[in-house]
Amino acid sequence: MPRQQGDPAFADDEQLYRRLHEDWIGIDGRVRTTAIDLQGTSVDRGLFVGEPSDCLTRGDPDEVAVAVIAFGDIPARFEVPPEKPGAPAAKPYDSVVVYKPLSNNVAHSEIRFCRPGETENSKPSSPALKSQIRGLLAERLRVVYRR
Amino acid sequence: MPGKDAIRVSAFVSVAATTSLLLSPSSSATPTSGLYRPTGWASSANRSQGPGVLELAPMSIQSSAQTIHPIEPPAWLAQAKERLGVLGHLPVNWGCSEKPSELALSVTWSIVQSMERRGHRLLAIAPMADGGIAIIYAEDVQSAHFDVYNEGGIVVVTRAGRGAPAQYVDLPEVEAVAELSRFLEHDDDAASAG
Repeated sequence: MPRQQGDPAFADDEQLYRRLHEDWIGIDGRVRTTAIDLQGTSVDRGLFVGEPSDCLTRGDPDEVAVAVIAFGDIPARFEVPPEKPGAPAAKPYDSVVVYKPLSNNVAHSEIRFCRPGETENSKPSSPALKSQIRGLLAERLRVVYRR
Repeated sequence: MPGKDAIRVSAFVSVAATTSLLLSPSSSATPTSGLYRPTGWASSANRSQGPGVLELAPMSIQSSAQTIHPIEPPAWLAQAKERLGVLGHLPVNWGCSEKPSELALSVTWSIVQSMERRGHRLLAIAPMADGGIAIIYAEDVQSAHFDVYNEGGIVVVTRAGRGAPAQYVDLPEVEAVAELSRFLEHDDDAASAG
């Protein structure tokens, strides 16, 4: 389970909604890894969302779909093994979900990727780790609304 | 003595022989508003249903003396280039934190061309939310794509089937192209064996 910051606290089963551009939905209907923003992935917390389609009313007009993930399903830590035996492994990253309401969106939150123990977002330098974070998070998101 | 064109053409002989079994007709390749997306096939399961490829111009070998005319590149390659041009002009605030860099666009075009020479047709190009580009070649039961980062890193991402773990390999461009190409060719072999 990821760490969290903000009040009220996230429940394990609280739904987090990610708005999607058309480009971020695969031909198989799944969420592409490109939907993950390593500088902080914006989501709307379910506590303040009625229907998933409501999320599109406060976003970019080019966003066409909404995907969901439960707070407790976000991987707490991301790490990749060394590519060769004996080589140093990339430093792990933790996920932290931060409730960060905006003036036009009370539900706004961010999934951040931070060095262990930190809460500020820090984009990993390892390309393989970056891709792994995208992959692990995207595969747990599922599209629940598409206009 | 064969010149460069002859070598290029002989490469296309094998490309055409391969792709003619894999690709659907050119009408299936349709650029959409936000995505280059050929719609006729998505997986090895339905690739064999399509008849021949129409994009590659027929080879013109006029005699045993091998008078050879250059082959036109497939139409989808031009569409891919056009698509990269669109991504290069995304507004800075396109709804995400970064747009693709010039370096990512340039590396992507180079990879798409290298993969085309190996007979692999592009499925889609998608911009990452934080910059960079995903170059997608399979996206169904199997998945196979390149992640090209704005800073220039390239990761080959493959998954052999649903439920299988994804592999993430950080490689220089030439090795990355060879790696993904091997994966796709193994996928084709497995499909034809099955």
